[in-house]
Amino acid sequence: MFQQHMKRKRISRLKLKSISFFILCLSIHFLYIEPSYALNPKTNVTLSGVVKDNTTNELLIGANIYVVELLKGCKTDSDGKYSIRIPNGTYNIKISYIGYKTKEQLLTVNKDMRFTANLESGVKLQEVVISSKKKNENLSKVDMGVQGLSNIEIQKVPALMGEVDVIKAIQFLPGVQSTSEGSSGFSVRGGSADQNLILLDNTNIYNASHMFGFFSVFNNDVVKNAELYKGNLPIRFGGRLSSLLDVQIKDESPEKVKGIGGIGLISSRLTLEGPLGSKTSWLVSGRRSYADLFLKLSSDPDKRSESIYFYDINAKVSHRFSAKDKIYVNFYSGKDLFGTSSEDFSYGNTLASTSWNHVFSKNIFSHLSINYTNYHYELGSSMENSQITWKSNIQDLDLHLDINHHITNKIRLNYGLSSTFHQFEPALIKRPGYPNYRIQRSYALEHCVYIGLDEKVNDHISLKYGLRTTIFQNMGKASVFSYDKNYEVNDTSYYKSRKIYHTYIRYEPRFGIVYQLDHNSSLKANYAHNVQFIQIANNSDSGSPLDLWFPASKNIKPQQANLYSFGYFRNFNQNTIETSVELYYKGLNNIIDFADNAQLLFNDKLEGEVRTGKGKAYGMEIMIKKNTGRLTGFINYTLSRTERTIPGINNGKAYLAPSDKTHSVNLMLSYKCSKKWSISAGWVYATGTPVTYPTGRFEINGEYYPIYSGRNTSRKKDYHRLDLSATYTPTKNPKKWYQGEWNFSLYNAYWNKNPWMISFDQNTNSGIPKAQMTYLFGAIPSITYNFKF
Amino acid sequence: MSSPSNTTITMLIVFFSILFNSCTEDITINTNNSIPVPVVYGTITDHYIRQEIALSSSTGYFDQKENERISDAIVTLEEDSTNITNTYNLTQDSVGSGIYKTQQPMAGKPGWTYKLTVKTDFDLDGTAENYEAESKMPTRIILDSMNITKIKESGYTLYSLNISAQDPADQTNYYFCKYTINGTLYNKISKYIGFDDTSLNGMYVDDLSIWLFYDKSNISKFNDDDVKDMVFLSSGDKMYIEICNITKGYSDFIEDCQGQKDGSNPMFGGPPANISTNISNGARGYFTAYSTSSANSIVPKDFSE
Repeated sequence: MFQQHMKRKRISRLKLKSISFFILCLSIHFLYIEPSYALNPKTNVTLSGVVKDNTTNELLIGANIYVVELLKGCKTDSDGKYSIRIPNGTYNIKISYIGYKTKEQLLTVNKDMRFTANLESGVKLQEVVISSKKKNENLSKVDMGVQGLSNIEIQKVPALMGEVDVIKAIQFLPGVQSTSEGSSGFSVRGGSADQNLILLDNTNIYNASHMFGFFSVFNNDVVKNAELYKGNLPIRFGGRLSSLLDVQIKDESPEKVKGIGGIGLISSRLTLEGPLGSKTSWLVSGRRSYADLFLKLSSDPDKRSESIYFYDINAKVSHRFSAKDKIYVNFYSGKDLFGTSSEDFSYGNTLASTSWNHVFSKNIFSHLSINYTNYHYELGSSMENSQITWKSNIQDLDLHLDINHHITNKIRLNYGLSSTFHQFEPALIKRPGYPNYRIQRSYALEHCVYIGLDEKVNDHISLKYGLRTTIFQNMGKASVFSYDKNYEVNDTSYYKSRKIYHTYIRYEPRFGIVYQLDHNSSLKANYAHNVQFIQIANNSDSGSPLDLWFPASKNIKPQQANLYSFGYFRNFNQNTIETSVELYYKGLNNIIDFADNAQLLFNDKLEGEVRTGKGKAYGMEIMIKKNTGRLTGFINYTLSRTERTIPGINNGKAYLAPSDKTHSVNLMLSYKCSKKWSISAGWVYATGTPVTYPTGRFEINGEYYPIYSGRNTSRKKDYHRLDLSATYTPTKNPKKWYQGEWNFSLYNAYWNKNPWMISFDQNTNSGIPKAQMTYLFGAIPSITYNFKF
Repeated sequence: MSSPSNTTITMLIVFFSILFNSCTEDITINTNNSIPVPVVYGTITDHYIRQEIALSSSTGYFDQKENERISDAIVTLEEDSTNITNTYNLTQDSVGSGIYKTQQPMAGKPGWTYKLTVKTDFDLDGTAENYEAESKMPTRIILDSMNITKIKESGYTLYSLNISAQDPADQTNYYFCKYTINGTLYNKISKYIGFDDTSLNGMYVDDLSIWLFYDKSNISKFNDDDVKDMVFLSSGDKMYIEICNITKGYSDFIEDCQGQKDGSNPMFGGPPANISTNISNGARGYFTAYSTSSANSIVPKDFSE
């Protein structure tokens, strides 16, 4: 019985392969063959519309629309829309999308017309691990250093304590490193964690962590897909040196209410979505951890009053006013709370945004949004004699207009402008009986205009280039210190409320080229200049929640990066195997670090603790991935080095960045054993991160203190870890209204003791110092039950 | 007066260790040994005592021998006000101890500047080098009272050390507190309670908690490794404290020592860095002068509420 089933599967896979090959050939044709009629056109008309999933009504991004007779096609944009100019006539239109059955339709197009294509999902037949929107898009698009992950792919990555997490998934990608064991902080090509722009539906998330970083704020049930850009960001985004992680929330328009959820060891979650009339759809999602609920069972009243939890709430409503106008309202709120009967600590993000998509004409789409984000933390004690609250936050209000303009099928413009108001509240301390104490707030405006152009020059060459111009302004009310060469304050200037007292104007050119050698391979080169105006004063490796963002100013110049990358991309076996080699070099200017023993919190002269200098990062990333078939997955290898040279640190000599890892290998494999079972394995190996060990000691009153002779001159032992997971999906019982699924995972399966912290202690008897290693996790099994209806 | 960062960060560390049952084990690491340098440590106080300076040599971090004392130095202390300068020679009572004391008792005076000169041929090149430092003694803070209150928190019994005092409004002040419990002086820098007047500059602080001690009955709730670095109190213990108004430099030194002693914590600490010093010529350690103010109290039996 099982063998028969295998045989059937094999046949269907072969069919799929030939279909994929067919699509590939067609798409190569429509991309690279100039139709001859173009020289002698008939009356041109516009065929436009959207491509949707036929059951969920989810708009499909990057679906192919192909006019067979003309050998011409286009793709849907980020709203699932397409538009193509063709001579009037009757045509076979083919609509295809990876993971969906290709649809063919005979259409007579004599005037401008709209056509909505509903595609049937074929995911069950064709598992996609690393999604490619078009089979060989990895070869033809100009972008480099971009990795996309869909909800399904993220789900497959074995997760710590069963908490499926987009950030943990991207840490398996080449050039991406976790900043420390289990952390959701990540370093991209040697950059620090605050150099990543993390967006949830286009709204900035300043701290994407829960539980000190062991989990992230992204509930995978509401994530549609995530894209990571390792340096060369889309022209509409900027403000960070290293990367963009663009997480999109589901945007389906289901015809009836449906749900998805799960019960795990750490948290439970439930997502509901549905229609409200024919034009409105909604999504509401919640996730909460419940370790603290067990505390309520304790016999000790003190324990019962303790709380440790985190939660996330996502909500999204979309309403289509007309064929040309759609409005979205998004909301996210998440919080972590650790509390005892008299002390508590909480932190979290609140995001709200509204956006309006408008179609001006067949070729011009606009996206106008207003976004608010707030990351805040609060510590409080009600203990006798030490009542205190301490609050800190960063808030942004951002207005962004983005326009996509398809001038011809070969030239696409993307332009727009944005304006952001930043407000930084470093610390507000309140104690009953004493006046409030506040470290001065600071305010800044960040305005940007940008224009970018995608141009297909000929059959082989495509270009992408653009320019962002950013104006960054510090705004009063403020007392601004001037510092002497010893970083001591030597002058103070006062500015009134709303007074602009300092302005930076920075230009960020970006350029990319792809040269397609043949149907299977291409060469690419990219250049990007990135500028970052705000940064975190937090020099812990793990990223504690006590983030303190501060802006560029008269004393702190904006950080800058020049990223050069070059790559060779080749697909094998009809695009089922993608390979790539990318080389990059990143030169960094005004890069920030902090003085030895810097005091970052409660310091109104924080800028005096900042040291700036130069840095460089370079490396090679090799990726091999298999996208289709029963066994899917990838292996990648990264060779890299990241250095900083900052006067005042390490005696002005170059030192390794904290996340520098010479060699790094990530292996991720998924295997669909049967209809019911699938298994995944992830293995990570990396050179140990740099560490500073003492080279000497001195003694005072019987205690030993370390002497260091250089920063990051040693390394921890190499890091490696195997994670496993298995998913069991029982056959759906038609009598049951829901479909369940069990997931079993094992983090660090062979219990490797990966050092998290190296610390020192004095031997109890001899008093002589000794070294100690702390590792956070042994092998951690977990079980999660997921369901959907 | 107390900066909230220390207590809250301690609190976070406690939460963190509850959350994740991490494991710690001894390891051997190989490090290069840096060239030894002289280590000078001394504090001049306003107590009428024989003031002392300790001199030793640094050594490799994992060296199995104790650090060597410097016993052949010429140590002089100069005190200086606007028109008066006094010079004191400091000598060892027992040669080889590395502890150099003034011959007679003397009390440092707030507002005076103290200059230390240590002359020794540490690098054995036949010529003695000078290692120098100076410090101006800050004014005294008047400690009006101190008391200890008993608190119950999350299953633990704690004692809060509270002080009442007027903080001078002129500038940021830095303090540390040394204590004896039943006559035993806790003189290790890791046991000092350091704080400053950030957020309370110029205020009169009234019974403000500067530290929490665990009750001795809680010992079993901690592991042995932690217990050896902790200080516990019991009902009836007699506590004597000295609050000292210190320079920013010495406050930084104490904070650096406490922060760097055990290496750096990836979650809450910055990168490892050398502890600051004010001794010249490449030596380590610190020399400072500070004034003191003291009070006594007895650890209570009953809860304050």
